[in-house]
Amino acid sequence: MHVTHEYYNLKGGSQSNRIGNMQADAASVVTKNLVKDFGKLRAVNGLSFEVRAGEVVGLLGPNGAGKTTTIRILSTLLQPTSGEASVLGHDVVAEPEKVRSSEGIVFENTGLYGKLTGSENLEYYGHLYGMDGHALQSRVQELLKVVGLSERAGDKVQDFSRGMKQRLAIARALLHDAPVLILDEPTASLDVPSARSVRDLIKTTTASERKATILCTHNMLEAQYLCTRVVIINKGMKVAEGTPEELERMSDTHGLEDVFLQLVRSEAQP
Amino acid sequence: MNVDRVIWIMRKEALEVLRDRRALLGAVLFPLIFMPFASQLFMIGMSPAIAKYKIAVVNNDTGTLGGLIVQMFMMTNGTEVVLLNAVPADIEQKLAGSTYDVAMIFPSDFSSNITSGLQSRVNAMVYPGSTRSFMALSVFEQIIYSFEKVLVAQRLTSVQLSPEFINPIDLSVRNVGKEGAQESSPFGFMSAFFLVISAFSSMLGIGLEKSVGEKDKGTLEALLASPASRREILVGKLLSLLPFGLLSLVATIVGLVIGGFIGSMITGQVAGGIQVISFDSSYLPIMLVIAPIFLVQAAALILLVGFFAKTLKEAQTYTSVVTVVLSFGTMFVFFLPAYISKWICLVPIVGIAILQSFYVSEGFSAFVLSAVLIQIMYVALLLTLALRVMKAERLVTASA
Repeated sequence: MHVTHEYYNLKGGSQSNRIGNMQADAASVVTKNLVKDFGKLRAVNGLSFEVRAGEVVGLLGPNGAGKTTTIRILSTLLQPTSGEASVLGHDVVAEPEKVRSSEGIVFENTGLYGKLTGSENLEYYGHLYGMDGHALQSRVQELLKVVGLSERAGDKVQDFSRGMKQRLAIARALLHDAPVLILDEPTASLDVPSARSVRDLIKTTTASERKATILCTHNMLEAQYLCTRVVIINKGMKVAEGTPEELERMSDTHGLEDVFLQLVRSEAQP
Repeated sequence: MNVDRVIWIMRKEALEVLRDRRALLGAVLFPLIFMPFASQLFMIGMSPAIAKYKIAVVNNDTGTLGGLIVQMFMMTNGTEVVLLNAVPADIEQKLAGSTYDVAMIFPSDFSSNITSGLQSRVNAMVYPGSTRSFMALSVFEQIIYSFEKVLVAQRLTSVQLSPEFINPIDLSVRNVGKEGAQESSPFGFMSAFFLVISAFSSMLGIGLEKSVGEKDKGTLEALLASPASRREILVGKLLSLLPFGLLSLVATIVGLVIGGFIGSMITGQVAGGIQVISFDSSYLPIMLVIAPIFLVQAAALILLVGFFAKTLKEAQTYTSVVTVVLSFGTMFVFFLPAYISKWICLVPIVGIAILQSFYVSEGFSAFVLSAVLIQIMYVALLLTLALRVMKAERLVTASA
């Protein structure tokens, strides 16, 4: 089976249609022909996709496909070699601070400070996001309750379990009520109950608060459960895009894992 | 630059350090206790008042003059004379093992040669690896010199000549230092070390934790993805380091004052006393100028290396080289002629540490002020380099 970008680009439609859609329901995250080179290595190769409010878009791909690099560009940690990326209309190169203020990010490594307590971690980032005073305090308490950590708020994070840290990292991403959530392997190495509670939190938050969420994961069941749309990338290029059901139907397989394997294998063939 | 964010970054960094007992112990207790007492011990250990110079004497002189010199030895403070019948076969081991600091052999014709108007010879044996050996020898040389002067005077008088006949010039040495200058003079030498060793070392551990440590722990990505700019992060982290460097420096000076006081009390009771290292307030004006510059330079260098290195291990490799260069550079520069060490004042970090020596001799001269300005330029250079390293992609992509 030969897979092409156009064949599986079921949601995007033509360029003119996309522009029309954006005017009606502007995409929160847009990448256009995004390219990122590290010396001779092209990590991201002409990647284009969009994420709208209320959507969870899964960024799926094998190791080295370019997922992390794409996330780093979207979080302004790296600059693209060419192409465009914007968040809420703010270009990642021209307006990095506005982009960062619009995003809540959970990295694979939670990035929490072990010597600070749970609430101190949230308060610190709250201050960096320009929050202060009573509004910050009540938001911290509210989020600690949402992620089920109210009783451990005063404990140092170094004493937290992996699952607790992950939930706290999600609380940090939600702290400033950013319209865009970027989640990189949020349930990696979590036990089943913890992973389930994190997934439910993502699903609920995205739907109720109409976040535009990008989810990087290797867990196909998780992607199937959470994602309204999936972008499969390999070797820096998009190889397919659509809802999990659309991708299953088009590739004549059952389950996202089979779709993924078929697409990645077909790309690997000469 | 958002000042609020810088303050919050500073506060968070400081809070983390305050919760890290090891870092605090390193910043305060090490300079407060170890540095001054180690320095005092060094001075005390070198002093003959605590451990007398042991002089082995083999007096084969058939006359009386050899014995007279030996008596002068015995009467000298800080010397202990051990009379031997012959040079032991294992004299080299005894000198190396500090059983004796120096051995003197008076030949049998020592007195007869002198009374005959001939030159007489004393054989001295020292051990090259022992500093005390050479210090004991210098005591011996002073006694021989005094004895020689008396002999010459007697000889001249016997031929109706005054001693001034062969000693026409009298060198008069006057100590122009203020009261207590002898005690404080080592401070000038040691204070550059205190800056380098205490302040730099205490900031080093904390600074690496704040830079490459964030990479190792995976907290840097989240911080960089926050609205805080890299400039704000750098400034916040740098400012958070300075109080600990300053604390370390103050702890060192406080330790010196205490150490000097206790040292004076103990050693003052010993005949002759011991030179102890005390704080010298005449260095205060220049220290107030150079300490902030030194601390900012050191903090910027530490963060530069910390953000450049991929891992904590790599950073420690770089900084161990830097620490050795700084320590030895600061030590050896004092043995160089002033016209060379003046140029070294223009070198970053080491230069600022040794600048105070020139201030004491020159005050705020044009040279000292120029050197201070150049050192301030290094601050700007190091901060610019650190910011460039922070803005480079390597900061995100290079990891273990």
